[in-house]
Amino acid sequence: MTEQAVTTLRALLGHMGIEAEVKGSEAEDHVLLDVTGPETGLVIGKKGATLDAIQFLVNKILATEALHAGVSEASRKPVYVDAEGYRQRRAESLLELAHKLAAKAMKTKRPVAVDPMSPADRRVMHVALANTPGLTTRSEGEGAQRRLMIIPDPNFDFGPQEDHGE
Amino acid sequence: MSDDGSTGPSMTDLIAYLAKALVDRPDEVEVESFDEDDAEVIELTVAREDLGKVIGKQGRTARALRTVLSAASTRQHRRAVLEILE
Repeated sequence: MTEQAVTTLRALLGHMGIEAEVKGSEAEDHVLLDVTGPETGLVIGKKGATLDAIQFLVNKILATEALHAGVSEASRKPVYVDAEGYRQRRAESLLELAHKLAAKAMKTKRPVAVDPMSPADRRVMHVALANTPGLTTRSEGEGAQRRLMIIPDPNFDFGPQEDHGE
Repeated sequence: MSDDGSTGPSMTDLIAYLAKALVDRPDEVEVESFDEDDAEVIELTVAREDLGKVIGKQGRTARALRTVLSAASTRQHRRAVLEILE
C-alpha cells in the first residue's frame, strides 16, 4: 500500500502545482511519506496546517479507494505525511514547550492554558506530560480554538522548583 | 479552465480531482468557477448522498479541501474560495 499512497500524494501535489519529490516507507503500524523539494514551505503551511490537511485528504482518498475495492479497513495502515523532517522538529519543540509550561504550572500552582493547537499537536503535549506526578492535562474549547490546559494538583508537594527561565 | 492565459494548474481541476477521489459517485461531481472581485469562486456539486463525503465530520474534510486550495492558489498569487452547493 506504500506505492498506492506515494502515487496518491504525488497526484495531489501535482494538481496543486507543487514541485516535489515523494518517498514512501512502510513500518509495522504505519506508512510514512516524506516530501522534499524547493516548495516544502508551501506544503507545510502555517504551523503545519497544510501538511495536516494533505495528510488527512490522502488518508480519506485511500480509505475511499479501499472501500470501493472491497479491501477491509483493518488491513490498512494510517499514512503519515512529513516534509523535510518538519514533524520531528515540531515534536521536539512541542516537547520543550510542554516541559517549560509544566514547570510554570508547578511553580505557580495554577493551571496554564496553552495556545490553541491541532489535535496532533495537543496529543504530543498530552503524552509528554502523561506521567508527571501532580499534573493533569485536558483539552478545552471547540474546533480551531481547542487548547490544552495543564492543571497542577493544589495539594501536591512539587518541592523546590528550579527556574526554567523565560 | 484557465482564463487568464496562465500556465499554472487549474484550481477547478484540483477540486474536481479531490472530490472525485472522495465520493462514491465520481461521475456526478461537477465543478464550476467564476470570478468575484479579486477571487476565483469554485462551486462544487456532488450527488446528494455524497455530501457528507466532501464535508466530513464537523466539516473537517471541507476545511482540509479549503486549506489545500488556499495553499495551491497562494502559489499562483490568486485567491480561490470553495463553495459546496447543497
